[in-house]
Amino acid sequence: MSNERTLTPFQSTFRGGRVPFMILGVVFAVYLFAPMAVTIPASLTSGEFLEVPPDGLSLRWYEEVFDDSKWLDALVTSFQVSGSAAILATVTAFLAVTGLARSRRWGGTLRPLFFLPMVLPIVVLALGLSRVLLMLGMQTSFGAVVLGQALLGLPIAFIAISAGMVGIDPAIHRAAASLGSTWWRTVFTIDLPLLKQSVFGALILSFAYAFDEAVLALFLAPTGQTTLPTLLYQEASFRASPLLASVSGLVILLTCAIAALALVINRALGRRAQ
Amino acid sequence: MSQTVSVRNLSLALGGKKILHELDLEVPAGSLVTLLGPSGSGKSTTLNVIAGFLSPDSGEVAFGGRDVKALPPGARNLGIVFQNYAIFPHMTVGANVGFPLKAQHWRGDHKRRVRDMLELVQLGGFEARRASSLSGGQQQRVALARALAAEPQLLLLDEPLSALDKQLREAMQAEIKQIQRRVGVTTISVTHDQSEALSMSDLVVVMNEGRIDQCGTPEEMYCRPRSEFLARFLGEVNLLPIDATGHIEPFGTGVSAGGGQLAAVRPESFSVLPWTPVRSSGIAQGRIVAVLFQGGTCRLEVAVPALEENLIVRTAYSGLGSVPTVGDDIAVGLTGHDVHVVALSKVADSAPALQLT
Repeated sequence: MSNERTLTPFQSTFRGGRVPFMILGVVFAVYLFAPMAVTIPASLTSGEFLEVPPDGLSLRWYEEVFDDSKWLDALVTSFQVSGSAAILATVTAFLAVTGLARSRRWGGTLRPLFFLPMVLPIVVLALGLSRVLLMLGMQTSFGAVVLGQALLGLPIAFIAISAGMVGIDPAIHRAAASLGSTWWRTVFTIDLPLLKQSVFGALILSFAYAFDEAVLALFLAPTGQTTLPTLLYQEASFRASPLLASVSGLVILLTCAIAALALVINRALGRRAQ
Repeated sequence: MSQTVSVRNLSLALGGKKILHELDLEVPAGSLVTLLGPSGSGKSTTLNVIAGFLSPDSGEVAFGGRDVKALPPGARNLGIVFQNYAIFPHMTVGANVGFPLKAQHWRGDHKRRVRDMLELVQLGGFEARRASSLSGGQQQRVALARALAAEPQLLLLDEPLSALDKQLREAMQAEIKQIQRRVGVTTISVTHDQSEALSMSDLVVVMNEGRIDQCGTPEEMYCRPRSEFLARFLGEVNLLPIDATGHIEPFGTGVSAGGGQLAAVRPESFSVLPWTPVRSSGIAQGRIVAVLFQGGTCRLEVAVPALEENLIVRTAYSGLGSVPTVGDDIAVGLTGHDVHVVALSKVADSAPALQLT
């Protein structure tokens, strides 16, 4: 198939650009993977400092992670908080997209509002949320972190699901309405099945965003407990230990596993949709 | 089950532009009425108002005498076949057809109803097939079965056949007509395809610029168009000038009309005669400039010295070797019986209210 003789005239118009494109691709790949290429060797050091190339090889910093329960606690907390935030953001975005699709007038007016959290500096949001909690006489809690992260993940989930909605023929909604379907029936028997890949994508993307987010937990987490990125941040400002690299190594490993799983699930959803 | 649909004094403006002008339309129960018109004529808008997707600025829509203006589309008890079918692609054929039964809590055996409807559209046994795997024509049938499943009082067809190829389109025209007659449901169809309108409908309503130009049976519309626009819109036509003494140029055929009017003559109304040098009443001499052999008929273009435009003449094909050739001199005959007179003006200013019942 990739034989040059079988190229269509359209494809062959790109042949001249091939070498520059490949160079660009390699540069980007190096740029994206360089941090990981540094982190993982650094985590395998047997020395006391975060350095590349590592000073001898050992798994001692990985053992250290597993010995100290605060890392695992923070990881579990992160999953709970970011998972809740991702679900909240995705459900809100799904309802928003299906709702806005029903009205051209309101759709056009309200759509930009869902992108507003993107332009809000996270520190401002965190400060604002903590002030509100204070005013309501409430303690800092992971609930507030979930709320904040969900707000930040909302635009991402909204974009992902909107993109799926564009692919649905508007006549399908009119057909359902004309056949006597209520709005809820249309949402659950038509929109949700047709958008399931986009919804899943929205869930993964907003989770990834929330999982990475350190500022909100810094301001809003209850004292003595925190999420993984925030703990990493606190540790990093304390000392540059290879421990940071080994935690990062474990997170990279975990992320790869989740990404692979997400890919498999998404393909399964896509196959059934056809 | 079948009900009359009456639209009275319907007006609608969208974005400051007036789309419908005081429209009146009466659709008899059980009939198939086609709204025909060029794009922008307001035919789809009319259908959307009847369906309830648009609410009119003023006017009345009633099904069987009952005002439905306050009802949403889903409560109007109608079935719609959309241009691109609007099949639910993630469902099976059976689930598609069963959808309105569930949504409307239809009383009765759903499974059996789905089976009956699929048999009606000749897709018996297709229940478990995935709807998106079907061909265009089959999806069209599923859409029809789905629209009819919950026993609607009104069936709306929105350019139902425009996405099909020509042969399939003609077969589906006959089939939709047959199914509509068997079910007996009042049906309003919208199309810009004049042959579809002529072959399927009990009544044809020609719309132009938000008004109804003329309405009648397909045969009336073809033979007695009210204006030049209508004559041109439905099939091919020759429009010949009439002189002050009421004679059609250059045939000399007498009609009871005068200046400011045109004689509309359908191509098949002429007779093709052997060339003769003698000038006589009802005959024009000309030369064939183009021949289009169309199977059962031949379409000729004949240049006549006295006319600016070529005459279009359709003759029946009468066997091997009978197709005329370009350059032949012939005589074209016309009798007064085959002439219909129309006004010169393009569109009459006010379309009178139509009484079809």
